[in-house]
Amino acid sequence: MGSVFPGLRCAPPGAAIWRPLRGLGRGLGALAVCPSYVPVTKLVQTLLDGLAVGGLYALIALGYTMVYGILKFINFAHSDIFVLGAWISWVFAVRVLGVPDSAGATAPGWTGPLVFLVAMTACGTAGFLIERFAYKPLRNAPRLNVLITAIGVSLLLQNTGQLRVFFGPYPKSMPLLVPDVTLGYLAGVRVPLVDVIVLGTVVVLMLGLEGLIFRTKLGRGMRAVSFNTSLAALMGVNVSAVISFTFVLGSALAAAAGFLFVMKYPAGLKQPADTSWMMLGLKAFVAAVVGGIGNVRGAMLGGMLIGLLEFFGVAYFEPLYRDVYVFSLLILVLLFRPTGLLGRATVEKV
Amino acid sequence: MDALLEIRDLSIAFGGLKAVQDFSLTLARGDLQGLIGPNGAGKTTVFNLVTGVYRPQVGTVRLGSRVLNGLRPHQIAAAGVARTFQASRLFADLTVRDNVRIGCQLRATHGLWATVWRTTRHVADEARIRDRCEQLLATFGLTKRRGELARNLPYGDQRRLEMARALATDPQVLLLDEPAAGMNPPEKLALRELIRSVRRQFDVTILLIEHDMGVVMDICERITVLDYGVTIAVGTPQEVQRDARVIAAYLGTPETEAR
Amino acid sequence: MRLGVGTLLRNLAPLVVGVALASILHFWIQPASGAFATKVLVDIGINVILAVSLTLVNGFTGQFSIGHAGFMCVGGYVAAAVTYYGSHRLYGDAFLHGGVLSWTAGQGGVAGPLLAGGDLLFVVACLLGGLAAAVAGYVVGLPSLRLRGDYLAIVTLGFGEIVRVLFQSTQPQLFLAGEIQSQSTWRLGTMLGGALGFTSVPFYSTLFWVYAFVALTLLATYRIKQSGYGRAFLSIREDEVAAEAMGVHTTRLKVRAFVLSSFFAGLAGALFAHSIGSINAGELGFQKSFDVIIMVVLGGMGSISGSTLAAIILTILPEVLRTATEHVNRYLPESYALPDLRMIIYSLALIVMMIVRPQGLFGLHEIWDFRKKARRHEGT
Repeated sequence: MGSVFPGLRCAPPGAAIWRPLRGLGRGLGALAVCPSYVPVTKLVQTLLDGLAVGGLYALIALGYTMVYGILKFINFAHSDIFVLGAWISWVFAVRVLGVPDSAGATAPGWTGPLVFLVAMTACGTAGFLIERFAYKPLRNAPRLNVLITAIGVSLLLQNTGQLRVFFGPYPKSMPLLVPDVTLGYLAGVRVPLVDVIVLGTVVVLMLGLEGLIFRTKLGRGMRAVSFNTSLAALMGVNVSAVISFTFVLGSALAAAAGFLFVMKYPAGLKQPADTSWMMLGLKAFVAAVVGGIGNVRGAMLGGMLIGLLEFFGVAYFEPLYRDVYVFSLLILVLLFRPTGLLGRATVEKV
Repeated sequence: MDALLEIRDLSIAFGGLKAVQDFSLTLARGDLQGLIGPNGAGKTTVFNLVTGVYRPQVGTVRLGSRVLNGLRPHQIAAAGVARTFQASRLFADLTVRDNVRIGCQLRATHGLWATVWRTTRHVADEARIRDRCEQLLATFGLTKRRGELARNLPYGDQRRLEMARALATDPQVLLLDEPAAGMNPPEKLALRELIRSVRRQFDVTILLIEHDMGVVMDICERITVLDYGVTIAVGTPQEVQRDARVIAAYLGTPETEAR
Repeated sequence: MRLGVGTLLRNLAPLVVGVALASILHFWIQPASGAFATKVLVDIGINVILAVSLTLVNGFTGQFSIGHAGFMCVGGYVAAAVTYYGSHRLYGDAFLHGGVLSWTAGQGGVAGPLLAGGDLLFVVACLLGGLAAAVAGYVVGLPSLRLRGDYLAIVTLGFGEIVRVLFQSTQPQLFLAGEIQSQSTWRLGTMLGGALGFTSVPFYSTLFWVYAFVALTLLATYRIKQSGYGRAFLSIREDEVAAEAMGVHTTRLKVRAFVLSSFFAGLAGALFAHSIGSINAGELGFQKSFDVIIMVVLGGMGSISGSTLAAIILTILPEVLRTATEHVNRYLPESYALPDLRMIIYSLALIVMMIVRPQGLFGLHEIWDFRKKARRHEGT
């Protein structure tokens, strides 16, 4: 298997706009010039990459954790929604808006946010439909059946996505909707605009979600349903609506992660059934479990932890074992603290 | 009178809730005792503590000379304490026969290797299990239903199957958690006889939780009353029925009786 | 274990039947059918072993393992290394050194002894592969003591991926006889080909050997299902708390189910490696695990005959589909060509099955149980 993050160190040729800013960056870089073999540089580089990717994991993990919190099952198809988000970004940008996906092409500044919103809307709708047609009929079925259905939905999404009518069986290259601008150098590490945008969006989305869950009526409904579904129904919470909304929300966040991922790694847009996608989704799930599944803040913490662990493992130990670190952490956490770092223990009623 | 099952000063708290406090009870061999109390009094918790589902924070449970607390549930079952469950926990998708045979398996002596090679010992064991299973089914009037799935049984039959399955483990002490729940009046009458005959036939000592006062007062020789995890009365059925605190506990929660 | 006459008889009969069936396949069916049909038959056999072994865990004990390919991988690599390097040690090369039973007709050499030293090497390799997988199964089974349902599923998936990465980061395989001779046996164990996979494995997996092991697997799992052990496994799936209260040592049995299941999966991996002449961890990722899960789920979780039937159908179906699409595509312009619909059909079948008949085609039952039931209904 190739690297999960192609083009990790080699930034693609940049967009030509915001040239002054870029010049400024170059100037700053000259001031803080620092050879790449300096330990601090490596540390900062790893930290930056780990945080950015960890933020993406966190965004995906939020969807896993919210669905688990409410329906108590792993939505295996969630990682495919993330893939869908990435691919819809490409289709909308290239096929609909006509942004050329050849190297070095530029796009007007407004395309980025527009594509972002379209991907979120489309994936939200997909999440809604999946819940309605695949999971809702199984609301009272054993959890194992729902898990199998989720695996089925995941396989279905991957393989229909590969059809030529949809995205096709070949990897594509994402056009640069965010100009490749260097904002500055941090201890010799280039800080590109895209990293700041990724981290910034992740933080904004997370704060928004926190507000939604803890400050709005809908959020209260979500918390009530996750605490006790039947009791919430008795208290007048529209459980079906809350579940649907949770799926829409989680899917939209996954779409955001998908968009940001292909922004950061334009060459990472592999064909929909490629295993690299599945690994990304799984790591996000691991993040949710490590943080404490069902716990929104746990997902954020877990995502960052997993991202950092992965990148530090790759940078300082053996790059081949990048997946091994993550899954080993998962197994350790499950064995010694099955409820995750921020999760609460529950007592099974006999 | 030698004690068979001796529970002493058992306590457990969940968070701040003291579910059971300083519970003590002694069963002599051949006893048939009752454990009653309003809903949420901690009766089932006592069963869970004795059978190892929960670990008591304080206190001891002794079967003969053997200390049971700290053992895993399957070890306690092997030691000779069997139970039924309040909400039916039958193996719903298995047949009535298989439900009972799983209980019988506890006393089988052959291993997995013998199963794969189908040794003579395995065959003999299986035959013995089959016979014991048929005998139990006959005792509980389930012979005709042995091929049906447990989930398709009427409620009364399910309660009896729970008892048959527990007895299949060949216990010395049988803990029955609301055996009459869901039964109609004729079935409840028959249950009284059934429990008495089970005690004779299988030589077991019985402790039973029951809400149906008719059943409890008729068959139990001695009754312990729990309320909010605390033992409020112990005595013969007559003594307990006259006890002021018991009356208060029950009258204080009228909705309990209504259910 | 006492070896009585009865025990001997009870095992002799299935042995004779199994060997007879495998021989019929090997000596009559195989020469008559072409190379392609033989390959499909071998694949069917391997998939039957995989599906039935997975049903031990996913069907009987109700645990949910989705890392089955990982065990297959362990068994495949270990067995392949034992035959390849072992063959080099014993014979100085890695060609077939078996008797008639491990020669496919058309390759010549049909006139020889029935069994030869190479066959023994191969069988030992298969069993060692199974044992190595069983050890891995024990390690993965341990978390199952504390985890349930989805969590366990993820751990098994993670295990499968870790196994894949570990095999992919092994040393390059040695091909020169001289180099192999000079290495210590332990060193050879680490030279499993890395990302290129382990190749040049002699083709021992003839129809005879594959179906002999299929018979062994089916017999063992069926006997377990019909016994107290099988019922104890099922009780765990039905209600773990009640099972424990009935004296079932749930933790021990769950681990045993994992060990048994992975033993057979390792066996399947061994046969697989010797059927295509190589094994590559990169091709045995979770997609392969999902393939097996689909068989078990569709056939009925806990039904041995159901899983077997599903394995047979789902091995043939892709071939039929492929031929059909190729046929249709001949008449369609390039841009309208039909894609490979296999996985789409499977995934839809999985979803529909869960909604319409969640217990799978046969549920816990065996195919013949239904005939019995039908007869009883006719009688009354």
